[in-house]
Amino acid sequence: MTGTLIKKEIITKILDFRFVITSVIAIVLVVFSVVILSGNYKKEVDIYETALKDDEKDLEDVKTFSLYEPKIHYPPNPLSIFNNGITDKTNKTFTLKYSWIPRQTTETESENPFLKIFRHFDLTTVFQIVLSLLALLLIYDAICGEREEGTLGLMLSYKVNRSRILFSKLVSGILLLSIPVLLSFVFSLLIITVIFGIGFSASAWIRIGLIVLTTLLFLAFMISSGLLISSLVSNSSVSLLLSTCLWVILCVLQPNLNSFIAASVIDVPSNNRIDEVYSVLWDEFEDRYEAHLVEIDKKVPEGRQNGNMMNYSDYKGRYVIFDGTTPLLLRYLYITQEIEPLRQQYAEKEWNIYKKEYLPFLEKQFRIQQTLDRFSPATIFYSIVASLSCTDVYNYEHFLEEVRNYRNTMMSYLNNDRKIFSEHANEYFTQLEMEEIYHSQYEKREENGMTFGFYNTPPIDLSEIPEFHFQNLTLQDHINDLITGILLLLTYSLIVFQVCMNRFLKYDVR
Amino acid sequence: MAMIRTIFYKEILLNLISFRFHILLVVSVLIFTVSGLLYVNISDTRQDDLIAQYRMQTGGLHENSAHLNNLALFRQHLIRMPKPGEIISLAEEQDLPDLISFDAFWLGGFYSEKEMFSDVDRYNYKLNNYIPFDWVFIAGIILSFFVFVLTFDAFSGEKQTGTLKLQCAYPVSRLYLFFAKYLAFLVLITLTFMLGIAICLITISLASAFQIVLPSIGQIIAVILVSLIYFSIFILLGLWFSSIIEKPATSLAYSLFTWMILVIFIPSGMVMLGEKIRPIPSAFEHNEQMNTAETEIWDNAPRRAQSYGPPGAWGGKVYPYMDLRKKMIVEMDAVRNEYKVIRFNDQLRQAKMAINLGRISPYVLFRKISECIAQNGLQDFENDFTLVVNHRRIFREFIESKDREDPESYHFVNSWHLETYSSAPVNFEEIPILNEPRQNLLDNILEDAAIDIGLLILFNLVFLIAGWTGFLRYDVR
Repeated sequence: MTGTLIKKEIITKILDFRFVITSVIAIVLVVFSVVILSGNYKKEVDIYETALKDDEKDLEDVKTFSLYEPKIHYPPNPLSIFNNGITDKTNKTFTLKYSWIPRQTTETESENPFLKIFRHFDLTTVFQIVLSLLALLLIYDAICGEREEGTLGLMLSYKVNRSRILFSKLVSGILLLSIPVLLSFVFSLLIITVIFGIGFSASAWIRIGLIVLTTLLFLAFMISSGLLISSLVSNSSVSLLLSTCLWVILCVLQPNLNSFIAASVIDVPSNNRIDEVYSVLWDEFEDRYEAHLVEIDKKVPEGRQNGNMMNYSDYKGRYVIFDGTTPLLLRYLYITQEIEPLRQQYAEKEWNIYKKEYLPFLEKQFRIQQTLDRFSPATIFYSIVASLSCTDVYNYEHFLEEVRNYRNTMMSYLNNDRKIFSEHANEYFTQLEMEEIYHSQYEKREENGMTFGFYNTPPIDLSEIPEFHFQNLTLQDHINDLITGILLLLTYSLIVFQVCMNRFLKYDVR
Repeated sequence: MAMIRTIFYKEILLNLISFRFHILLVVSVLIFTVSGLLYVNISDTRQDDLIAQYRMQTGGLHENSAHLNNLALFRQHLIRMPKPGEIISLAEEQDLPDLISFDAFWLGGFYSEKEMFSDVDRYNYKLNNYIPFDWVFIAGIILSFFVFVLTFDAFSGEKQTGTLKLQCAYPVSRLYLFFAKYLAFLVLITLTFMLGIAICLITISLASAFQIVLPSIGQIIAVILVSLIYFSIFILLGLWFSSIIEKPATSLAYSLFTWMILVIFIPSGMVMLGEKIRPIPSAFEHNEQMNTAETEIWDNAPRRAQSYGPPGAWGGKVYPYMDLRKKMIVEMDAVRNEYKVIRFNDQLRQAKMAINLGRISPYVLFRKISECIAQNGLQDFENDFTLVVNHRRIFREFIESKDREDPESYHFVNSWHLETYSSAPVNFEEIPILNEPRQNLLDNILEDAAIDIGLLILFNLVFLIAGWTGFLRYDVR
């Protein structure tokens, strides 16, 4: 009997012109968005690849470790077509410095700072808005509409209990909706893979499969709430009215509201304030630097002579381009030995301040948003898809952590293996011995008349430097969030369906 | 005429007691209250931050006025203080930079690694993107949605109950019938909006710790007038759907899809499409171009302009070929500034292209006009940028004129060498200060938003004709 009921529901709805036309519109909207989003992704990949090439070229020319500042780029993620998450707000490039521990800076690196407001758009939002509206339009008259037409009474005269009718309506709704959902996914994937030639890895395909399932689960919730509204009222117009109000609140209002509340309830310290704290710290560093200089000058008095040494130095880093006499170089060797480790310490201190006085506030805001998000199925859906697409906060933080770890590995390699800050600190400058540097510089100057640059020195040997590898978080790492989200969605759906069942059992079919 | 009035009153009364109007009222009162409360929180801290920034800048100017050359290189900002009507349209303003930096020589300031535009926002990358609940969002998205909820069964619903036939039996033309309904809806939705505005203003003035500058009466009236035109489009659209589609529910379904496309999809989609149609060089490419142009000047400059060396090398007090060198430096600065302006114009043109494409959506038009009323948004930012470009010239001229007065100076004002021009103290009062000028509201609207208002009215006319002919041909049986 259930089978017959489901069949009947599907056949009557699928013949409905309204369902067909709204599905077609929905699919067209999805296709339009996919074309634009895939194009954006392609552009991102182009930028990423040119950046990698340029980095390689830049590093070939590096002749001193003092100028060795490799860059790390966040690899573009093809799943970001499905969900933007926070990717368009995060820094994509990090420069590894002795004096700075990588973290998200507040400056965004957008190509165009204008009209950002209209650009927050991805496939999940399209699904969230369009398909849920479709679901409500499909189901709003499921019970009250049949009552109006009189078929509900007819149906109940058969030997079939009410819960079965309701259940078959739910199942048929999900089955029917899966047609536009699957079609949208198939079209999107065809466009992405065939037209734009974007490939997915095996695990990405599993993630896409899970995204499809989550979408259906979310739509199941929308269908059961549509059913609930339909069983609460007796008039199909009123039911549609309430359903659409529910839709606009759940899918348009609340996603914006949650973040807006979070952003305005808790204040993050302003950039200026935190910059002030940092500058106090670096002032202290400069004082200690000066003190060291005095001591060093006692050791190598002739090093202070006015030589041809180009030395750009600020607290963010020190670039020494050497062209001078041996005592001058010696003086800088001492500085390097004592100051550079100190600079690293201060970088650590700055990082600790950031971690203690800035990050917790961001975290608090984020928690508030997360908690609020858990109350609404639409936002739960969004965050599950974000986790599945690896565009969520956790994945980005994992990336930052990896970058910081890599920086530590690199620093310890430079400190311990290459000993660039030890008594062999000339490595900090070049690969050459001190005398060789002097001669190479001297010859060049004779030839050229120019007074700076390591013209004759070979580039530093980078073959043994550890490489950076980054893997997105796996499904297992996300499992807690995913399970919580999915369970919440299921619970909401079940609660709504249960209430609907109660209402329908008492429903007056006359 | 009396008949029209009767029909009009009847419509208003019927809607006032209807369930859907109550939902609309509750939702709009709630949203406006929430919007007021949240705006107060955000605005208070923002104002604090900007004022702190302003103090810092004034302090910096004061400190650096001890030496003219230091003052020339001091990185100043145009601080874009919150405008009185900010709550009208916050969304784009929130993403626009707060500071535009410059010094006497360079747009963006001497430290080239720092950006020309920066923010003092308390920004959190972990939060999802959101549109703040400004009035444009509430009126443009939420209330326009409710317009459809009110109008979807205007004709088809009355047909079902049979009252439409009855009304047609009276000696009134269909035109009047149509207009009575139209006016009733317009009055209802506008009254709701006005009620919301009042609630929002009261919330803000009760909740704010500081004196937040509320929008002026002129601005409020302008917003209401524009929203009148905006709502009217959706009412006509709803009436049209209601007259061409038999079943009310189907009519609502179609009008919702239309609403979704007009209000949600076209704005975002067209902006993204605009970026495709008018691509701009990436920041990296742009920097390459800028550096090449600068290097070219360097390479073409005479050798004596290039080599400077330590002061010991040429013994004297000022480098003997400083005039050559200064010429080169000035040229390089000019190229750099030119490229910064080019970059800005590229970005602006792209954004304008996107907006132009989006103008097929009434929501985009509404947002643009409201930005003109609130005197913020992209247009205002463009004006500010032009201000900074001009002010930098004025500031540079000021530095040069002060330098001419100093007998001890070598009079080579340039961005690279501080020692070649005056380091005499400057009277703080004389330093030209950059302030955003107050614009006349009406001039501003007429200048920048005339076309948009025209387009909104055009939308009205199109849907008026559609709705009216739809109703004229309507079969009331």
